[in-house]
Amino acid sequence: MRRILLVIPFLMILASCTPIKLIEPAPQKVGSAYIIHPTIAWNGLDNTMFPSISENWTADGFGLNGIDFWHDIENDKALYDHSGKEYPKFRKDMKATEVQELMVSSLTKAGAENVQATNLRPAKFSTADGFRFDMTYSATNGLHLRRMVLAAIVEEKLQIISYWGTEAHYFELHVDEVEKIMASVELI
Amino acid sequence: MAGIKGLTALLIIGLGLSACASTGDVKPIAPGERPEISTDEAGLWMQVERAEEKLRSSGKVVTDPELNRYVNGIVCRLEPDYCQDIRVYVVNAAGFNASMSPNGAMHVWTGLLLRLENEAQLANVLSHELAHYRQRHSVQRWRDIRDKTDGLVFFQLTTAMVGVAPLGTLMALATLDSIYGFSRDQEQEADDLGFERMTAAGYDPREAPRIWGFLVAEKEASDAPKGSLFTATHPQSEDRQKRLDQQVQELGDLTNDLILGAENYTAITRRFRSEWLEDEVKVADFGRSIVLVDRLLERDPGAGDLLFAKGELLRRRGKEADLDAAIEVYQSAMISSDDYPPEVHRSIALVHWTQGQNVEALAAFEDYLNKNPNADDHLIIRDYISQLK
Repeated sequence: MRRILLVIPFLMILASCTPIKLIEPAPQKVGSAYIIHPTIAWNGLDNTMFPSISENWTADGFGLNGIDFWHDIENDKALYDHSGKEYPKFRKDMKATEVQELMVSSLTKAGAENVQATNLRPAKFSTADGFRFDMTYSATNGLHLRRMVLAAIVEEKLQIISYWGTEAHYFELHVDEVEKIMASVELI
Repeated sequence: MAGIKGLTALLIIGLGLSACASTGDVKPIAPGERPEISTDEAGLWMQVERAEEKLRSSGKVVTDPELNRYVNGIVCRLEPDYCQDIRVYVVNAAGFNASMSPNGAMHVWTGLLLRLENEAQLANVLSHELAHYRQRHSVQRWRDIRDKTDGLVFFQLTTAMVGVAPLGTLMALATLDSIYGFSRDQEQEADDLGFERMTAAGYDPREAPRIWGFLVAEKEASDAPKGSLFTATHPQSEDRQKRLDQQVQELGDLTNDLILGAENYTAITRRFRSEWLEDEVKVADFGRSIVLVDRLLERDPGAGDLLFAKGELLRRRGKEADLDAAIEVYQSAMISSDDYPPEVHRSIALVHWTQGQNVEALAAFEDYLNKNPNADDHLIIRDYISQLK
């Protein structure tokens, strides 16, 4: 309850001057780590006003679906840094199984409930040997969510492209487009 | 200086307004009673009924009939007159928690059940929550906050006018934090009444302070940032343990026929333990969880699920000595238990690989697939094996 009340003023501020930018269906650079090629327009959070470890886009609204791009996560850094919590940290010698565990614990710590990860398998991240897995969890508001993750550790830094959406309707809506984005990734 | 004087005056006015707010007398709720439809209490019930409805359909509630029958049975033993008014929901969530809504919906987290050792301890937690219901603490608290918040709006406006808005914000934070739970006095009253009720129902009262001892140990070992500026509004676990210890002393010599219910409790909850441990590991508060698992191991040494959980916590924390310690614990699980999970082999392999012991890693990954050829992650494990060969 306390958390919701504290978040409301923040969301009001966010709504009044939300730094949303249009992401054109054209090559997009993610940090200095990789380039992706979306084929539809997305709405991106402009992180120059609210700095974040990841870049975040949505097609239908940030409560419904989105893509999170983490890039160049270094040894001993976490995937989240908000809420004054101690989030688990990435280690440069992690294997795919351990990155999957890191993602599960990070989401759990961020407030997601009943986080499950399945189907961990090898996959290419551009030219690098990476891996993919699927996730399900519930948000604190009870919404059931799905997430798919493509990741790789390249030169000791973690790169992640992760698409999520509500189990009902919004996840399926852009899966094909996200598959194209994941297939289009080019390491810089 | 003048600014400080003005600020002091405003503080006095603001605090005075808060203090003027009356919460009124709230009598304990009678068995079967529901609030009159025209009252603020009925409005509060309506809100929590909506939340209860949402919880029921959320998939977070453990529906196992035996577990639910067991917990409900203890509630009815503790408060036979209110038995029909209470609905207990065992909620899948790690962490030590139980809560009570004003309309009789009680939430018991699986993380709490994982931590308790016997029925007497569970009876103490349940009787504490039942006391919140009987004494209508939620509605008292709600009226108190509503009145406080009205005072707060005035305080923020006045402080903002003289250019000290940040202080207004700080006061807002303090008030919001106090909304988080029952007040210190209410918690103390629920502790006292809960203790009385569990003792009257025949449970061993010496188990009540022990629960708080568990919490103190976990809190001290936790990796989470310590304390909050506003935690003074709630009694600390240490104080609650001392107070309950004192109450046990005051009871004098105790008879030998008091209910502990350790065997019964274990029989009902044991089959869920692996799942609850998995949830605990996911939270990644390694210090807290290792203290918990070590305590559970004292009572059930050699249990495969506990040893696996401890190994997972050590491996994931990954400090210098942790990896060797994790290997030892995994090996203990394999030696002392026939029902250790096949994932033990995968974890051993990951540790060896991290330590550069590729031959051992390869062998352990192969053991994992031999034990579990259709593992959900068999594709990545086969990839690991080909990298190691």
